[in-house]
Parts: sequence; structure tokens; C-alpha cells
Amino acid sequence: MKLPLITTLACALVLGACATTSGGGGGGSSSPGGSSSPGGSTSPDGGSDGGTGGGTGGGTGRSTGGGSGGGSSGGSSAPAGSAGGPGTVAPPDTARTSDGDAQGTGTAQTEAPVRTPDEQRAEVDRQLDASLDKFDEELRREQQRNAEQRDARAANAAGAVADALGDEDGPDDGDGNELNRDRAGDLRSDGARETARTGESGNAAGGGADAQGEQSEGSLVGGGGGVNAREIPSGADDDIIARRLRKAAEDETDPELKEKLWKEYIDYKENTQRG
Amino acid sequence: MKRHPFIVRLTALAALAGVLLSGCVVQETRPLAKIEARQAMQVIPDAQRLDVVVHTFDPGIPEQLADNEDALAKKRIYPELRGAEARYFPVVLRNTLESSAQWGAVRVAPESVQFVDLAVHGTIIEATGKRLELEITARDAAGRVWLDGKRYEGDADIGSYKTDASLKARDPFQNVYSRIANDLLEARNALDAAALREVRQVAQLSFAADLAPEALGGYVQEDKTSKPALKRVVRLPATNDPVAQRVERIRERDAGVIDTLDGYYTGFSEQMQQAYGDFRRTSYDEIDKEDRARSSARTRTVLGAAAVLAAILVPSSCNSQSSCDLESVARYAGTAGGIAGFLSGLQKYADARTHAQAFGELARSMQSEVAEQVVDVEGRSLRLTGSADEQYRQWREMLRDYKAEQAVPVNGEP
Repeated sequence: MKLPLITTLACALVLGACATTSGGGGGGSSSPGGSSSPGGSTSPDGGSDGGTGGGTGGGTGRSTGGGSGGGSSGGSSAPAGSAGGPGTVAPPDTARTSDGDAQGTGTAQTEAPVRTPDEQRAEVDRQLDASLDKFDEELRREQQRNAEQRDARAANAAGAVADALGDEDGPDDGDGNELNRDRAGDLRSDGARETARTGESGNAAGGGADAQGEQSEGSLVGGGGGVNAREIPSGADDDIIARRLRKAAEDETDPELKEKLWKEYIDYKENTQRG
Repeated sequence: MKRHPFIVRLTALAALAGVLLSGCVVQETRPLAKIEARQAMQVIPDAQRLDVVVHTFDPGIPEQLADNEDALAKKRIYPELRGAEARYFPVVLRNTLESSAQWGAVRVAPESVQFVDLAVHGTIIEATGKRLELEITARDAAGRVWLDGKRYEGDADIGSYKTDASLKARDPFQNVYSRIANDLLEARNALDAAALREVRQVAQLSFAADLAPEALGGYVQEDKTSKPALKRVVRLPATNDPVAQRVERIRERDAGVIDTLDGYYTGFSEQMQQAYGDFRRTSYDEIDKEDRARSSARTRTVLGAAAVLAAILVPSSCNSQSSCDLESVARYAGTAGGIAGFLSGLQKYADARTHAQAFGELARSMQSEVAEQVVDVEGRSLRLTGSADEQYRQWREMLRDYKAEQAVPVNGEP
């Protein structure tokens, strides 16, 4: 009878030891979603903080000194020995991944390095820097997407205007009582159309500027002498809009666009003087 | 030769009717005198150059009519179009403020954006191609009210409707926006340099207090002795305060978020500008014609009825056969003219209804064109602000940790 009793006791001890070991191993891991496995987490704070850190993905784990299981997954350095089992205190650099995933190792480390307040601040700064960088990147992407959409819209609008102008035989007459509607192209779409056109053809606006200008005038207003045939009025009595149009025309280097800007300027001046 | 008194009376009545009719119908429309936002003539110091956020406007849809499309249409209110205008008008106001060079960064952002030097809120009271009326409130970070629900209204400048280029170059209601900008400038000029500097500091410290209340919460306090109670800076964090430095870095990101939101609204307004400009120009014509037709109809029906009544009721005063014949002819003529005038008045009412229907069709068409764009811009805006809010929450936690760790004594290592 003694032998089975001793054997039973030995088995019980071995099983007990095995159970303790597996508990510690469980404590070292936590799910990326933020839930820590129950094995080694003896402190609810540590477990929940670790869970938060993993869940939010932004590196918000707090240094609470709680259990090692969840706490370590959140990136905090729990003091060694405070854990209920041989959980892990991962070094700060390896405890947190950039996206906040848990990184339990399952290995016991009984002596954790004690961090000074400066080191702790540096750790928070690192987290903040990483978070700011990530946010900057997201913002930059969003702004870029927005800019691309605006460019695409401008190009589409320019294409539509070009098509419409190509179909037109001349300016819209309207009826006698209606406002005088000169359907000349607008500045933005002209600019965008020019960009689109040069982009498509691959030709820079180069030689034959006058010819280009005349051709363009023809397509815009159904035949006309272009700006060269019209006298550019004096800018002495320009209002703010006219001043801007004039300045844009003076500064523009592309001959075709320059001519269109002058035309807009002359049209605007005539309209305001008539009004 | 003595003229018959009845003929004289009837002739006078006809002449009066003619004058009234022509007076009501002829209504000259000219391009308006242009009002410009006053430009800065000198460099404004950084500490006094306020950043402005123009919040998306309240569409101004009466609550009691919100579910009654017909009633709203009678008031020329089309909810989805108003929704688009509530995002478009702030962009025009922003451009006006920006072009004056009197302000720092001017941005359009939703109502949820806070902690800005000067916030401008608006409500649309009336918006058609012919007339615009806005109610504007402006409040600075200290709580000082610059404009308190002030109404700005104006008729469209038809000069802007003349060409696409002029429409692009100047909003038909630019005068309204320029007046708002000039009033804001006047309110700003009423404050001295110290007050302007404090407004900027209050905005900055209020943001800091929201993000790190434990560390930076006590720097701004409400001065209840002033009316209205204003926020005052009671002390400033040290220039090397680590939490304040970190908050400032976060504030730069906050500015980035506002810039991005502003980009959404800019894109939105660019997207609708051409179509909306055309709509406004056409709707101007329709509304103008409707108004004229309605006015003319009113006058013609009233005067037509009056002429008929006069022809019937004016007592006879003939004393000879020939004068009685003449009077009789005049009565027939008056009755016939009155009936013709009355009928033409009814015809004018029908014309007015036709123009109203045409405007309704235009507005509904415009509405369906912009509805999707509104959903898109609001969706993006909400996604970004939601994401930013979550990020700020995390940063708040980090800064709280920082504060806690700061509190550890230098030699108090565990």
C-alpha cells in the first residue's frame, strides 16, 4: 500500500508543478484585441490596462505595476515579483509593438530593470512621438487623397468645358430680356484644361504662341481677333477683381493662358464699365 | 368747349391706372455698388493676429415646417439645397476674410471644432439667386460676443451674373460677405493689443486644459465680475513646461485636422460652384420674372376691377342726348378695359405660377445634384473628427501618465 501512496503523492506534485508552469505561460500572452488571458494576471488593473493598450492600438498602456500578464502586453513595466506567477516583464522596447499588439513571451524573468523617472518620461515621449508620427501620416494621406480628388474633379470639369465649347457654334444669344451671358471659359477650368491638354499631348506650350492663342480664342468665343486685336485698357481705375486679373495676366508665362487672362480682364472691365 | 365731367373723371381714372401699372411693372435692376472687405495696411503682429474658424452654417429650416415640403417650397426652401448652401456660404466668407489679410488662419470647420481664437456661426434666413439674408454670431475664445445674431441681407449683384468669368471672380452676394468681414474687423479694432493677445492665450490654454486638465487646468479662469463672464488668463505655464510643450505639439496636429476639414469644404464648394452659379443665375431670372408677374398681376386685377366698378357705379351726369351717348360709350369702354385689365392680371398670375414652378424644378434639380456631395463631405468630416477624437482621448491618457510620472520624486525610485 505504501508504494501506490508514494506514487500518488509524486504524481500529484508533478501535476501541481506542471499546472503552475502552464499558468505562468498563459499569463504571458494576450490577444491582440485587448483581452488578456486570465492565467497570470493577478491584478485586475494590470489586466485591464494591458487589454486597453492592445485594444486601442495606439500605445496607451499604463504603468500600473499590476499583474505581469496583461500589464506587460500593454507595454508597461510591471515590477518583478508582483505577479502571481512566473509571468514576464518584457523590456520596454520589446514589450510594445508599434500597433499595440500584445507580445507576451511566456518566459519568466524575476529581476526587471528598475526605470528612473527620466526613463519613464522618455518612454511616454517615445509613445507620444510614435503616435504623433502615425497621426501625421494619416493626416497627410487624407490631405493627399483630398487633393487628388480635387485635381481629378478639376480635370473632369476642364474636359467637360472643353467638350461643351467644342460643340458650341457661338455665344448663347438668349432672349432680349435676359442678362447678357457671355459663355467664355472661366479661369480655373482654363488653367486646368491647359494642364490636362499639355499633359495629354506631352507638348510644352512653346513655339507658335500667337497661332495657339488665336486658335484658342476661336474655340472659346466662336471666332475673334484675340486679345491682340483688342486694346488692353488702362489699369488706372481697376477694382480689386480687375487688379487681380491684370496681375495674373501680367505674371502668366504661358502665352495661351496669358491671352485668356487678358481676355477675361478686358471682358470684366467692359462689363463693369457698361454696368 | 366744356368737357363732360364724367369723361374727365373716367379719363383721370384711366390715367391714374396707367401710371400705377407702369410704375409697378418697371423696376430697373443695375449692378450694385461694390463693397470690398477692408484690406490690412500694415503687418499685424503674430500675437494679435487671430485665427478664425467659420463653422458650417445652420440651414435655417423652420422646425414647424421641416416635414412639409410644399410649405417649404412656397418659402423657396429646399432642405438639401440649404444643406449644401450651409457648407458653401462659409467658404465664401472664409475667402473674404482671408483676402483681407486681417486675420491669421481662416478655416471652415464643423461645429464640433472648438478652442479657436474667433468662431463665427451663421444661420441662413433666406437664400435664392436674387436675395441672401444671413444671421451671424461671432464669439472669441474669451467668451466676448463680437456679433450677436446680426442680420446681413442683400440683393444679388447682376454684374456677377453677366459672364461665367465674372461669376467666378465675384460672388453675386459679395457685398453681404464684405459687410460681415468689415464688422468683424471693426469689432477686432475695438480691442486693444493686450486683449487680442489674451484671446489667443485663452484659446491655447483652453485646448491645453482640455487635453491635460491635471497639469494645465488652472491657467484660465472665468471672471464673473465682467458681463458677460469672460475667461481670463490667471497665469502662464513655464516656457519649458514639458506637458505644455507636448500639448503644443498636439495642438499642431489639431490645426492639421482643421486644415484637412477645411480642405473637404473647399473641395465641396469647388465641386458645386459652377452648377450652383448657373442655378443662381437662372433662378434669379425666374424669381425676378415671377415677382414682376405677381406685382403686375396684382395691379392689373385691382385696377381692372376698379375700372369696371367705376364704369358701372359712377353716377350718370348727362344732360343731353349726345352727352349721354358719349357717356354710354365711355362706360362701355371703361367696363371693357377693366375686364381686359382684370383678365390680363389673371394671366400674369398664371405666368407667375409658371415661373415659380420653373424655379421649383431648378431647385429640385440642383438639390438632387448636391445631395450626394453633402453626404460625402459630411461623412468624411465625421470620420476624421471621430478618428481625431479617439486619438485625442489616447493623448489625454498619455499626458495623464506623463503628469503622474512627473510627480515621482527625483530620488524616489522604487
